[in-house]
Parts: sequence; structure tokens; C-alpha cells
Amino acid sequence: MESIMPDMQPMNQTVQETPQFRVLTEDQIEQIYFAALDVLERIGSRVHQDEALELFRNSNEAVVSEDKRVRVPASLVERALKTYPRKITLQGRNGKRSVALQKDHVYFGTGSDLPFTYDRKTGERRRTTYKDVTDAARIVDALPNFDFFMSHGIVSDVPNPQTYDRHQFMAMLEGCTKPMVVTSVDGEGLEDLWKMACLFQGGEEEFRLSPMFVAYIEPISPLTNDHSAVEKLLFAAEKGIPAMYTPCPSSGATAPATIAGMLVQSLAETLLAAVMCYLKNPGMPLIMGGVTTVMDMRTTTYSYGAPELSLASAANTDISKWLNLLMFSTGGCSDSKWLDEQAAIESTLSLLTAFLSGANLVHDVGYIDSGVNASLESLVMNDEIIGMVRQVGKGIRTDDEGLALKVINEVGPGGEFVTHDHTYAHWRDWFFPKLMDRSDWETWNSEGSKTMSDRVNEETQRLLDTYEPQPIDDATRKGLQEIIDAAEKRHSK
Amino acid sequence: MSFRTNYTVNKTPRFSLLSEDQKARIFRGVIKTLNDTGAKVVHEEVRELLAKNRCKVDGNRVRIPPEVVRDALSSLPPTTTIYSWDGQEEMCYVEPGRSYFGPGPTPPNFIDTETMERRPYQRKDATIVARVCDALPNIGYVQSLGSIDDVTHALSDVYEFADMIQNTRKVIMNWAFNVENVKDEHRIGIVMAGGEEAFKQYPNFIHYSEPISPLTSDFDAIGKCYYCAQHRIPQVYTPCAIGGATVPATHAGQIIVAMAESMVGVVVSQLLNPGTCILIGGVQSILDMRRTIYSYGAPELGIMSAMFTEMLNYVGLPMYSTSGCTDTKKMEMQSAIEAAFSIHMAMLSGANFVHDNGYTESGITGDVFQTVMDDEIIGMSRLICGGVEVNEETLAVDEICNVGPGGHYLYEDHTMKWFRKHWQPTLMDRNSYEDWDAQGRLTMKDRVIKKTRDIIDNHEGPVSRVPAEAQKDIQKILDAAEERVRSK
Amino acid sequence: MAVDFGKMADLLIAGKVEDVSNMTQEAIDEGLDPQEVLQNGLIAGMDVVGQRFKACEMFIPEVLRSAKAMSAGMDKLRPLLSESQAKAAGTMVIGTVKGDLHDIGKNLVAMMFEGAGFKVVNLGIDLDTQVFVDAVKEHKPDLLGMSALLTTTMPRMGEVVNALKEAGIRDQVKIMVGGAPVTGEFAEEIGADIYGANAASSVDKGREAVGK
Ligand code: B12
Repeated sequence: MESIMPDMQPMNQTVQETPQFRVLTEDQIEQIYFAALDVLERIGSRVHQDEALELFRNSNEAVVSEDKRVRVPASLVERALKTYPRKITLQGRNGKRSVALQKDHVYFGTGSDLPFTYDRKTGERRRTTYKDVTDAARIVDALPNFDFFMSHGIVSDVPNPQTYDRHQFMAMLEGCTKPMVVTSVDGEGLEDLWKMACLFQGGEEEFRLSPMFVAYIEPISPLTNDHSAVEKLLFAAEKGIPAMYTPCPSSGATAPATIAGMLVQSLAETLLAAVMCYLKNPGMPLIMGGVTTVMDMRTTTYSYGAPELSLASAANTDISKWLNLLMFSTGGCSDSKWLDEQAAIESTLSLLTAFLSGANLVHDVGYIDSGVNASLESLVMNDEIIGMVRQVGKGIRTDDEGLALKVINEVGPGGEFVTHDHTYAHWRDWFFPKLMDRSDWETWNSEGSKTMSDRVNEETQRLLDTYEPQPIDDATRKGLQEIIDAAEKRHSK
Repeated sequence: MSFRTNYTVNKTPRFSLLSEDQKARIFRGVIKTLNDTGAKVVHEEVRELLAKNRCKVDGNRVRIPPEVVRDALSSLPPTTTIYSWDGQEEMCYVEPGRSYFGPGPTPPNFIDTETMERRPYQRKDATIVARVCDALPNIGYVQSLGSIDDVTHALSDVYEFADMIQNTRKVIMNWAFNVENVKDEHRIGIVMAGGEEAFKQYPNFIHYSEPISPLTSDFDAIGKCYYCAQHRIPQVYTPCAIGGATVPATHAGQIIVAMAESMVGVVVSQLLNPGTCILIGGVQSILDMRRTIYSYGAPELGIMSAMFTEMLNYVGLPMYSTSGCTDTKKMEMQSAIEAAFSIHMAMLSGANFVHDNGYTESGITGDVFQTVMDDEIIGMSRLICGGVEVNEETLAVDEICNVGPGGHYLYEDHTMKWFRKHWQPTLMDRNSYEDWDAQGRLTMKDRVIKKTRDIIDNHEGPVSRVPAEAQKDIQKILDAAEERVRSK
Repeated sequence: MAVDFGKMADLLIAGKVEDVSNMTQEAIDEGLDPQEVLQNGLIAGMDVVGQRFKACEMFIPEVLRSAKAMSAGMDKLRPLLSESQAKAAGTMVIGTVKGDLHDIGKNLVAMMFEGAGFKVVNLGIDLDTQVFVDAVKEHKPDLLGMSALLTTTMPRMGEVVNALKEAGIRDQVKIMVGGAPVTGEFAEEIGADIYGANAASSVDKGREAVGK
């Protein structure tokens, strides 16, 4: 029904294909950026790693003090910032280049390393196991709105804390074929994970073109870089492994109590890493990050549900875009101990805000109990929420077909549209609920008066019972095992 | 001290779904529809008024030319103030950038606050809803969440208003079956304000009525609109458009129809009494094509409402929007998600009055527990939509340098000053697992119920401050109305 | 001029660090019994702070300010308290175990114990087992606090307990443990005495355990 006469086409039109959302103006961003540069010149950041200190010293621009504090002039920061890639495309072990990190592309995924899980049989809280991680991996592989996977839980039933990361990665690979974000014990651990991934990608060079994962690394707020974090970062820089350096400040405790101040400090931490990577290997794929939230001043909880988390993360994403850096952000998480209305609300607000902000990787989806408890059901619930959130991204169609003026005129006052072709052609553009109930009272009762928790539970069980990911072939599996065994051997003393 | 120039800030985040061109296109669609297709107006007096004022009337079809729409839009008031019942306090400003959230009108059922059972809405519920809303900090105005079943049915609207206005100082949005009943409500408003002149100066309620999609203004609806305009009663004239059923399945098409049919009310009100306050908007959602219900939880509701708000901002009309509602049968995870979604969309878009916070079962059942939960969500959303303050003090560079690498901010004066600006939850639990466990493993629902009942038990509301004289006068109005209904 | 303990407590509640310190000095200069100053001034104030915190009238930064005032007063009093009195106020050694860099939770616990009148030795993070053992030998604390936020570093706390046993000094201290993955059961398993879920409840439990 689109108008076919060329002279009926309007000229000089801009449309918003997607919603526009911004927390900060460019002026505000600049103010934060200049403040961060000021921090790096005045107080700097402490680096507990010798190679990095050497790199800074050799730059002849950074100043390294006795107490391992590194101060960096703006000129060096600005040079470093020019080198980072604006696009990284991740490829899962399924061979699909499914996560194309570039401006305003948004992907959702889990968080990592949760110590506890509610046992699905007993309902009791217990420590997370290898099997829990594989289960989470399968569920994420099956759920359409999850794009990448972090371990969700930590494998606590493995022989040695020093090598747990290899087992954990193995558990992740068993269940999930999508791209990943990985945590590791140290540089050596990261190297092993990278070697494991290279088995799938077809070697080091191929991995550089189509990396399977991003390495998750964190500074310690305020302004501290510990030995193993820096070791990982430098290894990633050397090998061209995508890495994020993501501050986890809590406003009022490890960062200023104002959001702007927290952003300044986080940015200073990020910029120091940007310089460090630049000195090691200019242009390595670095991703900006941040779990920027408040400490609850009554309970001392590092809050994963606070509205400040959403606001500060969205502002941080504005900053990342201005810097031309890709952004790793946070959403879909909760302080609630139980998958209840609170978890639903906190997840929804943070997911919607993160999506609108245009952050590239939104992680921690499914966290409950402030990043302490794992919940497969939470993953399933959040999948539905993400579906709703993505609906907003479809924008509003305002061509002739969307305006439907002819249809309106045809139907006229008092008419109906249900039987009209136009409705037939377009109702499928709407969101399709899977877990949201829209039945009437009678039907709902006759179908067992189920709540959403019931449906989430059933869906979780169904996925666990039926979903099988694409298997890992024997040769690769053997290669993976060799790397793990070698690590165990090195560390068994 | 200022070293700076040329500096702009986002005081609050900026959110928009439509470009200027898109808004212009949609608006032209509204103009064209009103001019070519027109609307059905089932009210002779109103049709005469329109015919006298350059509209084309053909049977009960009225076609409104662009210049009439333009004149109406240009005579709208840029701001209107609505007051507490006694005119003492300014409660709402109807103007851009102000958002007030409240419950909705008229579901047949209610969740009993003691038994938690679904049952027909009773007279006492109106008082409960008014008192609970009075106590909730993020609820800005009040509607009843039901239509009373245990009074003379033809007067349930009047009873509801009579009871509610005495139980909250917040602005009430009332509704009515017909003009007769609006008159009763108007009288009650006048009594509470302390006289006709006082009411004119300090209006204390907003009246709600609905055209019917597509493009129909029935006798009662437009009659009420007419009456309110004549008496300068602030009013809402808004449809409940059902995408794919009573309006097109495309969002732009839906908003064009909804806006066009509401524009009839805008034009009528401004012709009668230029500068009288009118809001449009309403419920904008879709027909669920599997279950055939009008979805109050669909993301499309939030999306279209936000889009409609933008359109109204564009033409200078205040938006009456929708949020905090759900398709599920009780307050639970689903209602939490759907409410959070729609509330956040409404807040982001800057809608002015946002109703239906507390609707469950697709508008069939009112649930004040849901309203209490929504209140918390609104608080969170408001914080996010409050933006980030960026200035020398908040940037805190000196503090960062003083604390230095590895330090902490817990002893800083800056922290002492600013931490209280962090949002404080009243329902969201942030305890450690052990404390939560020790305190009985309460879920959000448990806490909502507890909080709601605490309010019902302890928050009296302003009823004791209503002058005895006024209470008597209101009773007289009710008695007279009963008499009128009986004699019919 | 007699020292007004009520005012002293109020200043402490208001978090006036210097004023409390000065007033403690005045009380000392006037020759008041240090034990009395401690009980009726400082501890009386902190008790109110504790109540207000539980009632959500005061929040962590304010509590810590008061705690700092308390500890400033204690610094003045400590040299004057008899050895047994000083000992009575309690000593705590605290640190985060080897391989673990999580700092702020442990610091919060330390600050809150200071607020309860304890002398706190904060050893830092990423600490070898031997550092704990040496610190217990050196400071002879009533309480040893250990923090671990990682599943992988948690077992280190058990190692410290064993090392203390080997050194024959396990029974000299009460051992408290805490951190996100730690539970009461785990504490029991490794032979620690107390599990603290958060700073406020840890202080209550700690005080009770050592009778302070
Ligand atoms: C902030 C944070 C960090 C910061 C810490 C900064 C700092 N200055 O401390 C940084 C970024 C450095 C960090 C690093 C890492 N972290 Co971390 N971190 C957190 C986070 C989000 C919050 C911790 C926090 O500050 N809470 C607020 C404070 C005030 O509370 P608290 O520490 O729990 O302390 C309270 C109580 O526990 C108790 N308590 C604590 N200690 C003690 C001691 C005693 C004696 C007593 C009585 C009580 C007590 O009282 C305190 C006050 O109320 C937690 C998640 C969580 N919710 O715990 C993850 C978390 C602890 N981290 C985790 C991980 C995995 C890591 C890393 C390994 C990530 C990586 N791969 O790089 C690294 C490890 C670095 C290392 N070697 O230690 C995991 C642990 C998972 C596991 N199963 O082991 C968690 C649970 C998050 C997650 N799910 O992934 N982290």
C-alpha cells in the first residue's frame, strides 16, 4: 500500500529509526573528561606491576613515583585514545559472528562467578558447582535474547583455586556456543583460556579477526591497579585479545558520593589503562566498562538494584561514545535475595535504561542478592524483559503505510480494524509474550491460576530437560583437556 | 567563579522516539483526518457550535478544517494550577516537564485489602484508595481504582468523589456517567473549595471523560466535555484506543486516530471557553491476538504513550498517559515487570498526568497493593530521570586527589553532604542474606502488603479537617441526587 | 567547671571529632576517672548511635563519623586507663587473606569496631598466613578478623586457623570471619568462632563473644 507515485515521496526527511536517549550533553562529558585528566596529572593511579611501571617510565612522559603512583599528562592520554578500534566482532564457537560491537549496538549477557545457587530440588542455598555453570550455559545458549555468556556461577567443586578458571571455561564451552566474556585467575590463566578458544577459532591469527571472548579485568577503585589485573591486561594487549578494564566503584565508599565524581574517578582509572595498553601495543582492542553504583548506607551492600546504577551507567555510556570507545555496562540484576517482584522491577529498570543508553555489552543479567546468588530462573525471566525492551528499539514507522491515513478514512468513525488487511499485515510487528500472561480471568483460572514465577519455573525446567547445545567435537575436546591437564600439573605441588 | 562560557547541560536525560519530521508528518495526518474523514459527534448542541465555527457538518459527521484546529491549539493555557480541596495548597501544575502519577478510574473489581480476594468494588474502597494515595510520596493525584457496587449504581461516580475528596488533599480526577452527575460532582467541589468563586479561582479536581475510537464522540462524553469547558473545570478527554481493533495496527496510525478524535474535545472546549484546561492522551495499547484482551502490560503501551506524549508536546497539549498496570490477575512478578516498564517509559517521555497505577487484570480489577508497589517504582524511575548534576563540587576532583589511590570516602565531608541524595528504598530489600533470612525471608510482595496495611491502619488522611458544614452539604447533594434518580 | 557527659555524648552523636577529643582532654585535665569518662561520655554516646542506626535514623557515614570521634576520645584515654581497663576495651586485628584484594568491607568492619572502643590493627589485604600469626603474637588481640570475598581465597582462612593452632595460640583469640561467599557453616567448618554478615551485626557479635 506504499505510495508508488515518485512525486508523492517527501524530501528532506530525517527519521529516528530508534529512540534517542542521552543523559549528558557534550559539555558535561567534556567537563568530566577534563576532571579525569586532572586527576591523572595531580594524583595519578597506583600500579603494582613492574613491567607496566617500566613501560610508563620509558614513555618519558608519565611520571612514576617511589610509591608506584603513575601520573600521566593529558597529551599522552589523548594520543593513546586515538588508537582504539571502534568495532570488534565476536564469534562464538558456533562460528557465527553474532556480536558486532560498534556504536549503538546493544548485546545482553550474564555476569560471572556467583558463589551461591538455590538448589532447584531443595530450594536451599548452596555453593555453585561445575554442573550449575553448564546448566546456565545451556540456558543462555537456548534463550534468544541473550547474546553473550559469562559464567554466571563459579565452579567451586574443582581441585585447585589456582586453576579454577580453566574448568569454568570448559563448563561454559560445554553448554554455550555464543561469544563469551571470561574471568581468569591471572595472566597465565588468561593465556590458557585464550589457547582453549584458539582451538575453536582456528589459531591465534584467526582469533584476532574473530575473537571468541573478551577478557574481563578490573582495577581496584580508587585508583589502584593490582599485579594480576595488570598482568592480564598486558597479556591481552600483547596478543590482541579484546579486554575490558571495568571499575567497580561504590559511590560514597570507594568513590565520591556524587555520580559525577564517581564517573570522574572511573574515567581516570580507564584512561590509565588506555595509556598502559597503548604503551604495550597501540590499538589493542580495549573496551571501557564500569559497574558504577552506590553503597547502601544502611546495610553496606554494594547495590546492584539501585536506580543510581542505571543512571550512572547510562551517563558512563554517553562518555564512552564521546571517547569512541566501546562500552561494557550493567543491567538485569537485583539486590533481592529471591526471584520476586523486586528482582523483576530492578531488572526491568536497569535493562531498559541500559538498552536506551546504547551500551554495547550489558552484563550481569540474572544476578540476584547483589552479585552473590545465581538463579537460572532469573535468566529466563530476564529473557522476556529483554524482549520487551528491544521492542522499544524498533522505533516508530512513519511512512505512508505506518500513518495509514487511507485505511483510517476507509474504516471511518465507528468502524473496526480487526478484519482489515492492514492489521493482518502489521500485528506481527508487536511483541510476542512467552511468559507474560494475557488471558482473561475465567481462562486463567481454568488453566490453573499460574503466576509468572510458575511459568518461569516450568520454562527453566523445560530448557534443562530438552536443550542440547551443539556438541564439541572429540579432537577439540581432547585439545582442551590437554591444556587443562597441563595447568593442573604445573600447579600441583 | 566562572571560567566558562558556551555551556549547556542536560538537567534531565533527553529521550525521544520521533524526529521533528516524523512529528510533523503525524500531525499532518491528524489534520488531514479531521478535515477529510472527520468525526462522529452525537450531540446536536455541540454540532451546532461546530457548524457555527467553520466546521463542516453532515448528519452527525463533523469535519474540522485545519485553521479551526490551529486556533484551538493556540488558545490553550500554557499552564494551569490545581489545588488541594480547600484551595490552600498548589498541588499540580498542568504544564510541560511536570509528571504526576496516580491510579485509574472504574474497574468493576477490587482486591480486598484484608482478604486479598477479588470481589466487586465497594464504597469503603474509595476511602481506602484515597487514604493510601494520600500517604504515598510518589503518587501525585488520585483516582478511585473502581466503580462502587454497593450504592445506587447510577450514582456510584458521585459517591466515590464525595468520599474521596474528604480523604486526601491530593487532586482528584473524577468521572461521571452523564452531565447530571458531573453537576453533582461540581457542586461537591464547590462546597469543598468554599464557594463558586473560590472554586473558579482554585479548582480542586479534574474531570475525566472518554471519546470512543474510532473517531466518535458520544452524547454523554462530549456533553460532559461541554459542561466542564463552560465552567472552566480542568478536564481530560481521552480515548482507550485498541491497536488492531478500534484503530490501525501501526503505532503512527493509532496515534493519528486517537489524537484526531480527542481533538474534537479540544476544539469544543476552546471554542466555548478559550484558555480552559484540557488534557488528551488516554490508554494506547493493542489487542492481544491470541487471548483477545486489551493489553495493559504490552510494551506497545509504553512505547505508544511515550510517542503520544511527544506529539502533544509538539502541539502544546498536556498528556494524560498510562503506566503501572498489568495483564496479570494479581500483583506478582509479571505485574512488577509490566509496571516498571510502562512507568519508566512514561517518566522518560515526560507525560503530565499518568494514570492506571494499580490496574491489574487488564483494567478489570483495581489493586491498591499494586499502587503501593508502583509508588516505589516511580521513585526509582524519577531518580534515573533526574539526571546527573555536573559542576565543580560534584566532580569532586579535590576529594579524589585527597583520598588518593587505595583510600576510601567514608570519612569525607563531601560524602556526608551528598550521600543522603542517594535514593532510599522503602520496599526494596538490600539486607545481607543472613539478615534477610533472620527476618523471615520476606519477599517484595510480603513487604508491599505490610506497608499497605500499615498505611491503612495508621494514616488517617485529612478527613477530620473537613468542616462539619461541608460534610453536611455534601450529604445534601447526595440525598438530592438519590431523589433525582428515584424520580426518573 | 564540671564536664557535662550528656553534652559529650551529644557531640559524639553529632560526629564532632575534634570537640569530642578536646572535651575528653578537658575531662582528663579536671582529673576525672578515665573509666568514668569512657563509660558515661563516649560509650553512652555510641550506644545511642547504635540505636539510631538500627532505627534507620542514622546512616553509615554518620555512624563512622561518630566512631571516629569515639576513637579520638579513646586515644586520649587509653594511656591513662590501667592496663586491665585498657585491655577491657578490647583489641582487634583484622585483614584480608592472601590472594584477595577486596578491601572496603573489611575496612568498614574495622572502623565500626573502633567505634565500639576497640583498638584495631588493620593489617591490610592480600596477607600471608604468617602475617596473621605474627600479628596475634605481637598484639595479643581479643579478636582476630579475617575477610575473604572470593570462593577461591576463602580456604585461606582455615589455613590461618590451623597455623594458629600449630603455634599454640589458637585459644588466645576469638576468630571472626566474613565476606560475600562466607557462611556460618563455613566458619564452623574451619574452626572459626564467629561469622559476621555485615559490619553492624559483627560488632554486636564480637562484643558479646569477648564480653566487651
Ligand atoms: C567491589 C567488588 C570488587 C572490587 C573491590 C574493590 C575494593 N576496594 O574492595 C574489585 C573490582 C577490585 C573486585 C575484584 C575482583 N572481584 Co569482586 N566484587 C566486588 C563486589 C561487587 C562488591 C564488594 C563490596 O565492596 N561490597 C560492599 C562491602 C561493604 O561489603 P562486603 O565486602 O561484603 O563486606 C561486608 C560483609 O561481607 C562483612 N565482612 C566482610 N569482611 C568481613 C570480615 C570480618 C572479620 C567480618 C566479621 C565481617 C566481614 O562486613 C562487611 C561490611 O558490612 C562483589 C559482589 C558482592 N556483592 O559482594 C564482587 C565479588 C566479591 N567479586 C568477585 C570476583 C570474581 C572478583 C574478581 C576475581 C574478578 C576478576 N576476575 O577480576 C576480582 C578479584 C580480585 C582479587 N584478587 O581479589 C566475585 C566473587 C565470586 C566468587 N565466587 O568468588 C563477586 C561475588 C562478584 C561476582 N559474582 O562476580 N571486586
